[in-house]
Amino acid sequence: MELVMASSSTVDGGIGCWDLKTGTERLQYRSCASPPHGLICVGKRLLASSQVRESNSSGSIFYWSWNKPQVEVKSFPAESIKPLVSNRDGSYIIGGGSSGYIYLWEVAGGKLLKKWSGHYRAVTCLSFSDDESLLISGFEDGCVRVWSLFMIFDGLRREEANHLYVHSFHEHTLRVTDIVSFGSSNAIIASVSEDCTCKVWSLSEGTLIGNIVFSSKVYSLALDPSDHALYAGCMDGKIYIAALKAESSRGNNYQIHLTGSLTDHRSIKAVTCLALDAYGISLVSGSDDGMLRVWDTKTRNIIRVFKHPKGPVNNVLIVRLPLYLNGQMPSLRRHGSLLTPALEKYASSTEENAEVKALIAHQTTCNRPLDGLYHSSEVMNDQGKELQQQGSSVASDMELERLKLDCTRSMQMVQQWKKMYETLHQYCVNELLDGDLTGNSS
Amino acid sequence: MAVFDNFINMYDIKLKPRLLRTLIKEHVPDEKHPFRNPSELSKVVSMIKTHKLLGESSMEATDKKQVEIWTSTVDAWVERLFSLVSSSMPDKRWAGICLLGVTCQECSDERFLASYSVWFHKLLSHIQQSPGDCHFVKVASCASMSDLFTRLGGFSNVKKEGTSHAGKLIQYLLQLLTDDYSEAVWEGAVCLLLTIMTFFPSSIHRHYDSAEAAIASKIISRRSSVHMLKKFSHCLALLPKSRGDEDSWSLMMQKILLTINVHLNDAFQGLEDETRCREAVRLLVAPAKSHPPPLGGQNEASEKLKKRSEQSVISSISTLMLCCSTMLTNSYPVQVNVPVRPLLALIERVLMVDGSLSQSLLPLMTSMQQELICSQLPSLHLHSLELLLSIIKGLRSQLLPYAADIVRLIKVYLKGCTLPELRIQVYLVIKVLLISKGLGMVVYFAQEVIDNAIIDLDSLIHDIGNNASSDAYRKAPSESLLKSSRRKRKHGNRSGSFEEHNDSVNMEPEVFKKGRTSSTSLKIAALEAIECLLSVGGSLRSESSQAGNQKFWRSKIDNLLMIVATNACDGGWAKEEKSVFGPNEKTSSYADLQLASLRALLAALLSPVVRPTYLSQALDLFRRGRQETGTKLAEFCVHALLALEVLIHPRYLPLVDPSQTSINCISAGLNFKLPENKYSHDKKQNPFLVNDESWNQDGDETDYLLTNVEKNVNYPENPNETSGDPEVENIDPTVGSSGIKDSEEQEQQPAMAASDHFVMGDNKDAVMVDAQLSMENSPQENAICHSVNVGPGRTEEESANSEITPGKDFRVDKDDGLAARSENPIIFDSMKGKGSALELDDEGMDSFPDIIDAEPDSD
Repeated sequence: MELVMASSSTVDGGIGCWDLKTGTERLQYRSCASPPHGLICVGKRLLASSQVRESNSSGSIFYWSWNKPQVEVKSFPAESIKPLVSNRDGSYIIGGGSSGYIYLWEVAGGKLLKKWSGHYRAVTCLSFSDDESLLISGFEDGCVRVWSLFMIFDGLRREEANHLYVHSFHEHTLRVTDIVSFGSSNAIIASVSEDCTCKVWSLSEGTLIGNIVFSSKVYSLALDPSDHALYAGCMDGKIYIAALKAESSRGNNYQIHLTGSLTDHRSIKAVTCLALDAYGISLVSGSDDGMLRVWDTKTRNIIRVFKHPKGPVNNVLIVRLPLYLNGQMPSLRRHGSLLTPALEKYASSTEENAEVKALIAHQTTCNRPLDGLYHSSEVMNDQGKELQQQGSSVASDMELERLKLDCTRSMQMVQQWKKMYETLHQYCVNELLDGDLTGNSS
Repeated sequence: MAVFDNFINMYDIKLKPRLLRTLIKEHVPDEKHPFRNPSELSKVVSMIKTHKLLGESSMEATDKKQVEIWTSTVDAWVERLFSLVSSSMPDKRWAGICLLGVTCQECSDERFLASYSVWFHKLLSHIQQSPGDCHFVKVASCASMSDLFTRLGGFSNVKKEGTSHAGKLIQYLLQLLTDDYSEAVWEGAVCLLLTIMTFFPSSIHRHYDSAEAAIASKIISRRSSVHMLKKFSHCLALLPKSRGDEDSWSLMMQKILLTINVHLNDAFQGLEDETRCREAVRLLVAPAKSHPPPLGGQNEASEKLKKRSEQSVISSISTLMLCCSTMLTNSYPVQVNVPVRPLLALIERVLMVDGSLSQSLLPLMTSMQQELICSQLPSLHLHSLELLLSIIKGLRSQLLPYAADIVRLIKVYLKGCTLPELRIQVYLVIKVLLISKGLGMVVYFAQEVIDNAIIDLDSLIHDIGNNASSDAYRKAPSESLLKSSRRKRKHGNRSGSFEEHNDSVNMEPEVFKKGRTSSTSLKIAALEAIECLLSVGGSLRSESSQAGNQKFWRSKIDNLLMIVATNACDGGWAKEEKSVFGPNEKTSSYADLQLASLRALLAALLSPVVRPTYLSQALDLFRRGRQETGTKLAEFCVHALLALEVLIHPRYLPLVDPSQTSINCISAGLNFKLPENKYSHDKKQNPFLVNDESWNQDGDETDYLLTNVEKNVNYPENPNETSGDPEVENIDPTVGSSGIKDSEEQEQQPAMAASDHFVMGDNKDAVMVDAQLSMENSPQENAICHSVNVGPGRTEEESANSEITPGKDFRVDKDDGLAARSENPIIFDSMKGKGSALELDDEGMDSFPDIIDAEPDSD
């Protein structure tokens, strides 16, 4: 089952939720006003969103569990956090601060594990590489930086290296609005910016390999893994489709060609967010006019429209729930664990790192009895062999007992024979005596 | 029963009761006759299992009467078993109990549910203390009882009854464990306990502490065999499940770790710094808290400890480590906190002890003590590596904060570690780390894996038994490999805390080189690690960028793998079947090595690089391997050929719009030859190839090259054909659809042909020949998409740093061109001409310099 989640930046805009297949509206989550890239699903267990707040003193991040509309947990980080990202397991949340600091929390204990300075300008978007070992961050001034999370946690290497990041790209001239990474060992990153360009980088090489110029500011990006198609949502209300062109005449640049666009002629409001479903068929776009449009990427038609109850949409998520849940949202407390703790404001001293919570997740293992589990026949065969060898102590033990029984039985038999003999003897003697007596008498 | 009442066939339902009756009559012992031959029983059991004689129903069981007969026969069977079980002769009792266990497994659901309680009590009476019973019967009853509970665990509706039955049993079982029985009885009891823990965990709840005490004392006492210790450790690890809360898991883990550390203090006296052991304990017990009770609850455990020999201490440490591993990798009903730091501290503590005496404490240990501990250390190391592996498995993504420490530990350890068994285990750990942590981990490990693998694969690289012609090329790369690895070693270790290791390490390569031929399994492990490295991060530059050699680890590894695969497979394919008389499973055969080398080679070919250097040789290897019908190797070779298909024939996959597939098909057909040209060109580039026998033997390819040459000769005679043929132009529907572009292209065409011709004139380079040939084959391609011309030249130029496979580049490019022109003129509007026009210009202009660029490269 695939759900579409959308949130808005208006105060108390809430998170709308629809079923992608059927189009039915589901539970709405209340009191959410999210900045762009501020809505994430944490390991399919809960929804998390950073909040736009008036006061600039501290930020806030809210959690919702699947089945309740109210905010379940509120955390207040040290500064205003805008973009959020979480790994697939849902064990970490990474947030980008408006001061350029990047914060890494573990979800289970709420501990702030690391906080490092990404740049001197605000973080605008965050994204994980495919294998979740690299973090890509975009900043307000157009800088894009790639971080190795291992490096961040590796104190020794940090001291050695003169900079923390793996790559730092400065080719964008204005705010980076969205970053998508795709591919495993040979990944590319695509980033779009308000400077009307989309740039493609090689993650492993750390070089710019493609550039495409659009006619208006680009706010959002989605990458279709199977088709090499790139969707860019722009300020003019169109979603441009570009094919990633591998070969080009210009040295090692990889050109991108526009191959079409998805346009709804009724709307000229900016497309602020995009999400592709797992099959690359449905593309959901959120727009400033408060509408969510579901496009069929094959026919390029709108197949469904949802209306967010309040204000312009700036976040869209497609959440795929496993089939066995059968429409039921997984409950947080299913396995007796209490509420997920709030995220900490400050990192504790390094000494306390020793107590970082690490959890062994509950895995549903198959408990069906298997033939391999039965072992009486095997034991029997082994014992049978041992018995036949007659050498082992256990076997001889048994043999002894058997012989003892045999012995007692034979003794009984002897006794019986004896008795019989005696009776017979007695009988014979009696007979003889009787005979004598009768003989004598006769 | 009539004499000629025959059956239809061997599946006939009538057969089953008849067979069962015969078994009862002739093979199952009875009260009257002595029971002479126990192996009869195995035959009975195998008969029952094959024919499902106790099933009492079958798919086609429509005949009610037959089913009734069957049921009554099974009744008779059970009746006979009962009489055997209560027999006075122990061997008959034993037979009855064994067969009852089999019946628990084989009988129908209805019968089982109806009578399991009776059976349970029959078996229970033999497990209970009864002086007359010999051990043999006890073991058999434990096994049969275990089967009964296994079967019972499959029914969800009798959980409650099952738990209550199991509850009655536990105390007798613990009695068996604590009493002085033979090991076989303990084994039976532990197996039964495990079964109950798995299926009816809550039944142990009441006896939790005594169960812990019983098992712990078995582990700590010296008397059990290794085999048994494993079972005990598994049992201890599953014990917390019976309570199923977070605290009992954590407490158990803490107790075990403390016990291990206490034991280590004894074992490692004089071998390590005092600080390390205090540190390990400090991590375990928070300063404010009190120590937990010792494992198993007895205080005399520590006193016993002192009396025992080193050997048994080490074996119980290993067992307890195994127990930790099991706890980490088995699922647990609730989430639990894993004490990662103490675990890692423990592992580090063990791995850092290599048997050398610490300077300050020299006189504390006699050489005999040292000998003893050194003999045991490898197994201890092996177990700590296993524990490390379990931590990685258990924590999954949560390993992140600790990953760097683990990596550092492994690197240091790998440097000093020379025993093959341990190295295999380290490679395994590296492999798991790479797979689970991806690209970020490759940055850390690439150099280590490569350096060490080169050392371990040494004998395969310097394979002397090969022909002289190939020797020349083998030597050159492998020596440079070794040199570079040695060079790197010197500044490899930067963590200052392990200086004492550093000194010994630097001498290693020489030592290895002289004496060691590593075992087959070690080579396989090394190859697997490389394979993994390539699949996870083959395109990544290695992190030591200051050395300037970052780009070359890939070509080095590709080279190495090709050599290894060639050498491994040169002498023909090894037999996969293990001989009946040979050693059993554990050892890996030469066939496994060949397979591993081919797997690594495939990874090298598939892992993105500009173009695979050794494709043709590799293909040849795979093709030869495919011939080995019926082997795993052939299976893999087919897979490899399938995977490489994409590199051989770049096929068209729909890009953006599926409606374009028809056009794609046409161009795909036209384009068929190009990539192969590219490979033949690769061969020319490769200096090793000239002498490579395998390649020369390949008739197809030689022929192919010849035809190439012929075509080349023909080509300059009528160069204008390429652009001038109107028929060919018309075949492609897209060209005509956009007038402006068409004309642009046509303008470029003659110029390009001329330029090609020019190059051809004074340069006999293979690259250009290929490029031209491709043009000849598919002139329309060139008209539409310039990159075809540029293809080979470009890849030359960027061979080191571009990451897209050439085949892919090529096809993506062309499709875009088509798509843009045929379907979407609107887009060009939206671009306002600036993007697309510019691009076209660029392409037109750049195609000349690119082609000329190819010249110096190919020299």
